[in-house]
Amino acid sequence: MTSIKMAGFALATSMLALTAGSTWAADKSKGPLKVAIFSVNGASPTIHTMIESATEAAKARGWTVETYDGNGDQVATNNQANTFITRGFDALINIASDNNQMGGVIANAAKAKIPFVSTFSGMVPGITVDIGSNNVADGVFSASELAARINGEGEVLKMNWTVLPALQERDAGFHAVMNEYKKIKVTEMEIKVPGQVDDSFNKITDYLTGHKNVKAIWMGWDEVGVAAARAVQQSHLEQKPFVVSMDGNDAAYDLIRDGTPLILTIAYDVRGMGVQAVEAVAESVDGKTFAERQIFKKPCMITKDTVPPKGQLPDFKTCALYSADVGKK
Amino acid sequence: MSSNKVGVASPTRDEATSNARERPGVVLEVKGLVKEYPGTRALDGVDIEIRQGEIHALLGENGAGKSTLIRSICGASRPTAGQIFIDGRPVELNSPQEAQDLGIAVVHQHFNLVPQLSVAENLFLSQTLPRRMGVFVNWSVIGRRAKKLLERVGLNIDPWTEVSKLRPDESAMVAIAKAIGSDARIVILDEPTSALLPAEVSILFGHMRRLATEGHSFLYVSHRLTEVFEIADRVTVLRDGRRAGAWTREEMSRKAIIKAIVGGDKPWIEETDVSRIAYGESVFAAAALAGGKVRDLTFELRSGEILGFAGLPGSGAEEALDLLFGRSAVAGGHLTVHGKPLTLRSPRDAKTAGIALVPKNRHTESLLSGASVRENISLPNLDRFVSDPFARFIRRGRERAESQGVAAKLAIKMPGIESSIDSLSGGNQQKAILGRWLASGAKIFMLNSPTAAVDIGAKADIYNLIREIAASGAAVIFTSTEVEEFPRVCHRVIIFRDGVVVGELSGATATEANIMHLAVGDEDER
Amino acid sequence: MSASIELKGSERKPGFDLPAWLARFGTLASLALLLIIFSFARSDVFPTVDNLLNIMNQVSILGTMAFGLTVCLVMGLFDLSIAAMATLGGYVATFLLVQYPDTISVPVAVLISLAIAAVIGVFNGLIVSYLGISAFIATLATGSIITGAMLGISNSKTIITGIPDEFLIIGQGSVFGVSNPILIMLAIGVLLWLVLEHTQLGRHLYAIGGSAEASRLSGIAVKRYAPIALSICAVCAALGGLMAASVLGAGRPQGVGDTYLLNAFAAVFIGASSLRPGKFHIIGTFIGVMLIGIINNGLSIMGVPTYWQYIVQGVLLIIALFSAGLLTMRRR
Repeated sequence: MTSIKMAGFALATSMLALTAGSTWAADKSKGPLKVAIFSVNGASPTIHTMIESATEAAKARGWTVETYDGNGDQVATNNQANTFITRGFDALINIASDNNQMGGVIANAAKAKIPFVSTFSGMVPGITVDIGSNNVADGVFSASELAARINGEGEVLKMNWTVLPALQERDAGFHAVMNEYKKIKVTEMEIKVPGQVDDSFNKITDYLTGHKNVKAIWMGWDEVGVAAARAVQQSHLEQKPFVVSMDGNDAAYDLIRDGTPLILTIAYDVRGMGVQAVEAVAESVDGKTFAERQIFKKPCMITKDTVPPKGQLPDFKTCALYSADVGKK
Repeated sequence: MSSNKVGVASPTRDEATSNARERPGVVLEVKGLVKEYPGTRALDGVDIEIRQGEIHALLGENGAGKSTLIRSICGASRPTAGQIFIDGRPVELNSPQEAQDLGIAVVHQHFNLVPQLSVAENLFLSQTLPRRMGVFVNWSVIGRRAKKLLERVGLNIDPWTEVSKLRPDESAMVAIAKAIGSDARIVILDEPTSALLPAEVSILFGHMRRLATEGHSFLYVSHRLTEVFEIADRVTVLRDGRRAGAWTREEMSRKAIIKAIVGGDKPWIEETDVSRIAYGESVFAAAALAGGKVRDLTFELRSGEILGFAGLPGSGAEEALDLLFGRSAVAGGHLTVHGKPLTLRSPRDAKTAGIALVPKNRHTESLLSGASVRENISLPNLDRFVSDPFARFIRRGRERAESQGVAAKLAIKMPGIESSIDSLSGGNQQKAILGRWLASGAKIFMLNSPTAAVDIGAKADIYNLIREIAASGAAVIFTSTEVEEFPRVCHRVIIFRDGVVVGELSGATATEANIMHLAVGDEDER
Repeated sequence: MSASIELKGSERKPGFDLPAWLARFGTLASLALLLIIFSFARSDVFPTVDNLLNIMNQVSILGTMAFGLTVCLVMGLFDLSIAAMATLGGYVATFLLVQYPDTISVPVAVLISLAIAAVIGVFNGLIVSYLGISAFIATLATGSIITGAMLGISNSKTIITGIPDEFLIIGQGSVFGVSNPILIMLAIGVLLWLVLEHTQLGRHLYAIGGSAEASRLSGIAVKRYAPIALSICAVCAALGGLMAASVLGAGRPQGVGDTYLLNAFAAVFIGASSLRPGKFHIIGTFIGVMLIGIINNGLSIMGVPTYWQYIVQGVLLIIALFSAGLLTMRRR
């Protein structure tokens, strides 16, 4: 009897403690947190933008931020992330470094009971949440738009670097669509990385000299999409193919606006992802647990009609994702 | 006679018995060896035999086939025809490893030791090292084995001494110990004495003789006749890829051997009367010059004179040449060329002042390996062939004509002016280097061991050339590691010891013995 | 052994020497072989003037950089900063043009960009000559500094708008149907060929590469030449990057030169195994560059997967260097 009573009491106190704890935790994100923002390859333009926006958002909350760039060295990145944990940082934000390769860091963060939030890094057990884009769906969007523009038939060139998981997913989306269009003849080429820009430029130039009837080119990401647009521009074809790609960087916006062969890109809210990562850290520190480990942000479809004015970004809250919505707000 | 070890290269038993040549006491026999390279026949049916416990000297000019023969015997190159017998059995040596397994080891001119490692490490470098627990090298066992091996060759040094700290003769003995340590019965020594002092040579010879009485055989390659007479039991001379003669110790004569080496048609210039050459005006003078090892160097060099800088290695004689060419920093004193003061900051300054230096090591200091004879001759003289002061195009026609002229004048033997300098013999390479400076119009020639590693015939040519240079009105400073060359070449010799000039000899007093006497010093009982 | 004995019968005849032939002409032969294979495989596309011009256009950046690299390798200096230097060349020019559109004209921007490269090259050389640091390490270090500086200045952003059309002409224009990059590459090639083969500077570079000590003792001011060679190389690399920026109409702050780095070395080393085995020379480098270009173009046109391009290029590099080595190995 006594033991049952005791247990009930213990339960009650612990419940109390838990509630007290969480009320205290709810204010914790307003305190002066120390967060680490790092990436294995911080020099890449997209990643750089995310680091920037996340840093701004964190500082706006009055947090202390320390950033780290692994310069392509995953091992060094992991070591540094572990150092952040032992130095008593309150949260880790991983910007686009493959979570599959950070298992040790994720485990250490869990042990230290601090949030591990990532962007574009893949869903791996143990993380707090990863904010990304649904690359497969995005691949489907771009491929569907491409197919629609060539009436579902003709020659299509597809270039990608399928080593990177996100690009592999876009590839899957592309193939899912193309499987439905039996009259489209797809030629696939793998891009050499590094040197991706020059390699895609050269490969397309070569290919177009031998294949004059290519109607459209699908590129895995905007950096090479820009190179593809230049290659098509400089080709001597009478019927120049158009180019679609994905990412939404400034260069791609410029080319789309200027009416070059690059006509469409699926743009990601890269800045928004950085901001959202910081929000996720705040929520996690305040006690929220995420039902899904992977959350997606809505992309925008950027064409000549939807491209933002020079120097501006698309409004990701209101932008169109389907061609029928273009022009409607 | 010890039985043959079963090596990789051993023939099958049937062959062995059918071809065996039982020659008691002969450990190595080479019969009718031919080695062809495209366009040339380096060996043309050479016979040589080496007996147990014998020191066998191999002589010949550069290009006579000595190194090809050694390479064939030690398995480094496969002969085109002919046979090699070890202990009377025919063997086919496909690699140095196979030769080593049959008891043949080569000690190269520079001993193939790693200078930064200890003697013990060097001795066992190529062998499987004893281990503790199969992993860690057992250094104490190595130390004991090294000590034992060194005792066997009669060397009393600490096996943990770094090789770079050894005297040259000790290095030579370590190399020999290494060969014997790998069970070599036939040790090939390729010019082992070239870096040794006379005293060190005699220590080395003492050890060799003792090892020979213990049953080891030596094939000893050298340029130095005096040493051959001192040590060899038998001599074989090669000329043009053939055996030009073989003598036992009793039969050996200096005249016959030299004749075999150089062939009948070339005169061997022993002496030249130098007293007739008149001295001219002062062209190069130093006053209290100092730098590096050299202190208080004062001399005056006259037109037409050949002045010798003699001294033991490290005495400052060779170092003085580097100092006088701006190769090492001048710390004090004055220099004048043709009466005008000269400041040397770099070899460029020296060259501009009309000074030429032929350094000691042809391969690292003077040759442009891979370049043509033309390019080697014109190297310091390109200034004269440029078309204009801006683009500085080279007028190749003029360059070629001048180089061709120099080569012809010096009778450089070569396939053509455009052929690679590497295809020339040592003597002809050295002539090209001298020609380089003759073409430059230099008036002061400084020559450091210009006849090093040059065959006897070419040596005579180079001596003549030096005299001609002096006779033409230029002045020459000459130094050499071979003391016997000074009386033969120089009008006057100044002798260095410990960085300072300790004496001057000329005319009849400039004998080898007097020079040595001054160079060594009275208190030293060498 | 038996084969060499048989040779005895014809010993005085200068018989056909396969290793020597391979060492000299092996790479040219493989170039010819590739041309034949590709021409048969895609006779409609590959063996056309258009495609030849296309190949040359594609290798023009690589070629320009490799020619410069040849100059420092002749002297025995490895320049690893060419990758960063190429990035610098393209980025600085576009940066200046976009930042100061009214004050800086295209020729001025190009000159400033190349001048900066030259100064860095001289700096590389001074480090090598006077601090005694090997070129390999010195250029690795300066390359890293340049990379950092470019990322810092650019904030990792690619410049794409505001580049004037006159700048794009450098890479996209043509004269009588031959595109400008080809002409630039050939001009640089001829110029550096003249320098290396026919001027005193070239002869001294070869001499120093052969034996620095022999050169010094011949009165050559050896220390002056590393700055010269490395700045020539730097200018060529920057020019290559500038052409890349012009072709793509984009000033990228990173990664421009990275692929060219290894391919440039490959081309120069393939070149050193052609015609004059063991020597770096401009014509050899040109052969190496064309070989790389033809492999990539031919395989692309045939639709061979990308990974084969890596494999074929690697195999050819080994064959080329091995066949060149045959001669030197035998001389030993």
